[in-house]
Amino acid sequence: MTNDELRLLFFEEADVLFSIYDKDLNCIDVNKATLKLFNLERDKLIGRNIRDVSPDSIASGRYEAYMNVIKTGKTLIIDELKAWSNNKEVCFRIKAFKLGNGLGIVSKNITDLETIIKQTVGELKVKVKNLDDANKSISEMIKVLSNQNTQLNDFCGIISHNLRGPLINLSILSDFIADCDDPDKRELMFSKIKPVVNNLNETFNNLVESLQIREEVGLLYEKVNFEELANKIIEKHRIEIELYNATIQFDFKAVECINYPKKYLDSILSNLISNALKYRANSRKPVIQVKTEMKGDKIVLKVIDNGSGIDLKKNGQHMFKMRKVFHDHPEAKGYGLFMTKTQVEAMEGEIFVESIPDLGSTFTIEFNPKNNIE
Amino acid sequence: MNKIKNLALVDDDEIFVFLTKMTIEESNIVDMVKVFRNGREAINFLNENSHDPTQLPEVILLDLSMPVMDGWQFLEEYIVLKPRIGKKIVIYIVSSSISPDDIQKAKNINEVTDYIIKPVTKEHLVEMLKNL
Repeated sequence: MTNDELRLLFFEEADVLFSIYDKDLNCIDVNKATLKLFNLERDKLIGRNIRDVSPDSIASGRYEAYMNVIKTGKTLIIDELKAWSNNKEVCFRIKAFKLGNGLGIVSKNITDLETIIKQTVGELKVKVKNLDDANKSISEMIKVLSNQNTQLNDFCGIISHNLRGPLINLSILSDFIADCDDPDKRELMFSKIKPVVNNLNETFNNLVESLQIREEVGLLYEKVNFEELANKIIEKHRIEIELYNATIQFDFKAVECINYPKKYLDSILSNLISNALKYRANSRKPVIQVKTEMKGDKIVLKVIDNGSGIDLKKNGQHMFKMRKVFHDHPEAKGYGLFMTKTQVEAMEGEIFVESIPDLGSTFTIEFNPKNNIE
Repeated sequence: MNKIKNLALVDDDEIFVFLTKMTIEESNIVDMVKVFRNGREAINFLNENSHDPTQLPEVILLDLSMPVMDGWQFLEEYIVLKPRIGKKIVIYIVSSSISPDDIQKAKNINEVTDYIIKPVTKEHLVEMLKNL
C-alpha cells in the first residue's frame, strides 16, 4: 500500500470520529465510527448540512461556533457534548478546526471515561469518609492517652513527693543511730522509726488502692438507686448529723438510678457528704443538698453545702491532689478527694468544685453516658 | 566563732524537724531554733515581729509542701512583707522534691538563696554561715 492509501485507511478505521464539512457546513466525508454512531448509511450523511444531521446544533450555538472557526481559523474545543445514540446517552469531547475552506471535526467518545470518573469520585468520597472516621477515632484515642499520661505524671509526682519524705527521715534516723553511743539517745531514735514507717505504709497503701481502682473498672456495673444509697449513707453518719444539727435534703426526681459499681458510688457519695459535714461553718447549721439532674446525655450528681468553703483562687490547683490540705482540721489527711477523683475518673467521669469562702461549696460529678440506665 | 543567732525551720514533718534540730545542735553553729508548722504560722510571726530584729531569724529553712500555706505561697507573701522587715533574712528552700521544675522555680525567686535537697547536713549549715 502507498502512504496515501494507508492514510485513507487510517481515516476510515480510526476509533475516533472524523468528519469533514465544507464552507457551508455540508458534510463532505465521515469515517466508519461516525456512521456507526449516527446509525446511518454513507449516502444518507454525505451532502447533508450539519443542521439536519445534528438538530440541536443551531439552538446550542454550535453551528455559529463552527462558522466562526471557518471564519477566524481559531480551533474550537468542546469538553463535553452529550448526544443520544442507540437510545443511550453518550458523551463526546470535540475538536473543530479549519480544514481548507471548511471544517474538520474530531470527536472522542468519553462516555466510559465519564463513568470511570464518576465511579472514582464515588470511591474517593467513601475513602474520605473513612479517613474522617479514622481521624475521629484517633482524636479520641489521643484524648484517652493524654488523660492516662496526666495520671502517670500525677502518679510519679506522688511517688517522688510523698514517698521520698519518709524515706529521707528513715535514712537520717539510721545514720544517727549508727553514729550514736548514748543508749538513751539511741532508744529515742528507735522510737521515732515507727511513726515514719506508718506514714510510709499509709501513703503506699493509698497509692496501691488507687491503682487497683483503675484496674478493676469494667467488672462491676449494677443498677444503683440514688435514694436508697443516700439513705444508707445518712444512717452511717447519723451521730454526726444529730450532733451538728445538720439537714440533708435529697432530690433524685430527675435521675433515680445509674449503672455503676455500687462500692464506688458509695465511696464517692460518702466522701462528699462526710466532707460537707467535716468542713461545716461553725456559725450556722449545716444544710447539705444532694441532687441529680441531666446535662445533655450525662447524669450529673451535685452535693451542695453551706460550709466554710474553699479559696479556689489560692488552692484551686491543689484540689483533689494527695495530701494537700488547706484547713487546720485535725482529721484532714488529704486522701479523701484524691480517692474520689480517682474513682470518678476511672469510670470516665469528671468532677468539679465551685466554692466561695464562708458561703459554701458545690461538688459536681458528671458521669459518662455509658452509665445511663437504658 | 561566728554563729547564727536565730534560725527558723518551717516544716510540717515532725520527724524531720526533730532530726534537723538534732543536727543543728550537734553542729554548734546555731543559738536558737524556732519551728513553724506551715507557711501561715511563719508569715504571721514575721508580720508580728517586723519591727523587732532581735526576734526575727537570720536564716529560714523553708519546706515546700505544707498544709494550709505551702512554701511557694509563703514566698509570695514574704515578698510583699519584705520592705517592712528591718532585717536581712537568708532563705533556703529545703525540700524532698528533686523535680527540676521546682529547682528552676526556686532559682527564679530572688529572695531564695539556695535550694537544698533534704536532708540538711552540717556542711550545709557551715555554708549558710558564709552567706550571712
